[in-house]
Amino acid sequence: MNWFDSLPAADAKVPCGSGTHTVRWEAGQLTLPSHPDAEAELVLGALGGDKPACVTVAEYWARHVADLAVLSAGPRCAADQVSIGWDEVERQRADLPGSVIQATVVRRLSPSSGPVASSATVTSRPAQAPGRPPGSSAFGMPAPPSALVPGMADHVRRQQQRLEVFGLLALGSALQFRLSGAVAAAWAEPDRANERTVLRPQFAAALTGRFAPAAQEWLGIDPDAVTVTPHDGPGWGTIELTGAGQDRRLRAALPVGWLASVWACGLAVLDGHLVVAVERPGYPRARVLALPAPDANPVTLEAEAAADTDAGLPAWEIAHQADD
Amino acid sequence: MQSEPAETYLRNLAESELRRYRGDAAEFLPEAMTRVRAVATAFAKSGALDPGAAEGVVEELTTALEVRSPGYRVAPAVAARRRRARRFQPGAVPLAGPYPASASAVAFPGSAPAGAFLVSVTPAGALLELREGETDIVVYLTAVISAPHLTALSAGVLSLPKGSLPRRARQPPGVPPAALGAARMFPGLPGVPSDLRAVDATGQSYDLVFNGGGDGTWSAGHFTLRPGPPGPSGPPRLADAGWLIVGNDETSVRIDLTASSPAAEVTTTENGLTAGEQFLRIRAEAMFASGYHDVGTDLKGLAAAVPALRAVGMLPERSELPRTIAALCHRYAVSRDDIPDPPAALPDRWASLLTGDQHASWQPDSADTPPAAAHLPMAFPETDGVTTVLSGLVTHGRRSTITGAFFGPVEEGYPEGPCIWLRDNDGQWHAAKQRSWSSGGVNVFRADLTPPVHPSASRADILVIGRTADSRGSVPLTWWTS
Repeated sequence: MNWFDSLPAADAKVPCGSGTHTVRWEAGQLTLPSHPDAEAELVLGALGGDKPACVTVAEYWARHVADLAVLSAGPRCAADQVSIGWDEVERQRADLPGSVIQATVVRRLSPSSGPVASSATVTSRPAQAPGRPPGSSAFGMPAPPSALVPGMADHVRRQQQRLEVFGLLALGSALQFRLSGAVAAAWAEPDRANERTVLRPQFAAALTGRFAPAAQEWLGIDPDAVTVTPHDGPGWGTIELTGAGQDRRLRAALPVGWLASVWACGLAVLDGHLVVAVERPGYPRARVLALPAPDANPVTLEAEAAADTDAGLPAWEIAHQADD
Repeated sequence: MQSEPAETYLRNLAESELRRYRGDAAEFLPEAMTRVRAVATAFAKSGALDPGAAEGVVEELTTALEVRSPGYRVAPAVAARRRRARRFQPGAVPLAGPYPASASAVAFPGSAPAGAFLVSVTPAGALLELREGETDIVVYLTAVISAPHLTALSAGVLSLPKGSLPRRARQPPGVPPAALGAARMFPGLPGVPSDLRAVDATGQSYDLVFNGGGDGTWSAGHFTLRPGPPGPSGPPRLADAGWLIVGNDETSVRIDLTASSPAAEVTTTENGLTAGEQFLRIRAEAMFASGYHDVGTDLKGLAAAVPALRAVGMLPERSELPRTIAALCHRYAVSRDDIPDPPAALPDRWASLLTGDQHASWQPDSADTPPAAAHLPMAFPETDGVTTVLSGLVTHGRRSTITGAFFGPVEEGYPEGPCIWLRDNDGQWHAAKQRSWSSGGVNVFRADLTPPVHPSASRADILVIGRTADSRGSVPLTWWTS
């Protein structure tokens, strides 16, 4: 079972060549239906031909599938409109020195340049540079040309990273949530506990920023009164509500994986219940563990997708209460 | 450094601001960034968080707001701000790091520690009347600042319509031709002569470059001598030359470099505050010393720093600083939601400035009253790596300007001082609103005094506030005019 089993396929449009192509996310993978042989197109691009924009987007996806910058820039809830468009991406691209872009493209095709779309499919498991935690740093990024002075090279690298993240966010809401989920899932792996500890403040903020709107929907609490810390032990975590009125405070401890299996799948609040874990992911039916109230024990619920929201996520409702 | 609590606090604050402003960032971006940037700065300066990590959070919030603001791009503005920051402090990141452990660690490049070299301020008291240009000009030369890396003549410059100055049967001759090449003309401010040069007793010639500001009629600042002194290992300083002739081709004035005035007694007292308290205090003081914006501008950010520093244990529970800032917020009608502490009484100098009738305190005798000048030779011990010297005081109309120099690193806009106050013999406090020009670790500055000082004042108590210590001194004021 995978976290993304609770999500249906989703499409996005990409300006590519003289037209607009569809890129599709399905079962945790980004596919390029209009480019069945992406590897060949990469080689053609290296020989001087134009590299299709769809292939470039797939490369971006592969490079940032564990990039915490996606979580810091991406959506916090369905109502949070991250509305960057392709025109803005192009403007950002135009700001980069042409030689840098060219050097970057060439380097991407070298054997050591990290994950490249080896076919029309990009998997959700990121490659990882040895000894270096993936994240907001230059994870998987090609190094800027060595001819640049150090400060300039660093600046160009950051701009290139921004451009790539912007290109991914331009895919629209549905894929923004799916990419965010992939990033969270990559970091939720058990073998990354030590890295999570180092980056604990970033995960605390990523959780708080996404849990707080859900808590507001669940309890009507001021989202500024909600804090979440990463939970790295057995069980789903804890939730504690204190105070009353304006002094109400909600403190939660949730695993980083909650962002992938629950939040990114649109399952955070289910008919007045706060979902704290997914027991059996699936679409259109999933089994979840949910709290009816802060001081209650969690109950197992069957969730059923009724329709899609504007954000490209399933709208879930309780199908059957399996266990009290 | 145990930075996790600080980084978590800052990131959660950024999340809160993102919730508050998303969708409206194009309109409210500066406001949306105010609190996060202020807290990031407070953490970085007080040592609670690595400056790079703090700046990273600010950058992430900027990007997050940008992608929620269709068509609005903040990156150029951010880049421009960083370029400015780097220009003023080469090598510094936008959020400067925590305070150095010792003063000697921040001595400016190429010099001995600031406290170790000799800085002298020599009263000049010279008047240079120039009648040959398109306007008549009177230059009030108040003092000479002389240090291993700088020689500057502190001055006020009055530009008058042609023919305003009475003709004189005899006037001193012009400055002798430059011994080493022709004098160069430097583009200057309107109303300020750009053809001045100087020759000292050894025959060395200098060009004079004006650093200062004004309104075209009255300007104040410094004429910097070029070439400057060669540094501690070079030949004797200008102050050892005996005299200096200053002027242009037509006329000149001689300045006695051996003149002296009684050294002002200066005392320095460490404030004994924690790093968090020191940050709040100097930032609050610097709001009064800023020559670039009003007091209330930075108050919202400063208020946000109070609970932040408190949350990460950088602010003692019994500290008076939160109450003081709460009082300022109350005075300026800035929200005190961040500070539950009851307001304290404002320090005397703040109250004097805020509650006094600044306009009534200054009544120029008439529109034709000539400027008045006084030398103000004071040197204060190095504090936090910065040595402060004062040189002169000039006043004209409704403007009073104090001149001097900082030796050592100061930040653009003086967010951390040093902050200078003057109290006249009537007990009125005057805040020095600093503006300056940086050059190689030396900042010659001019600061407009608010309210202005009337030339009837006979004494000045000077207070220089640094991050860790305050220095005080007192000098008599002897005014002269044309």
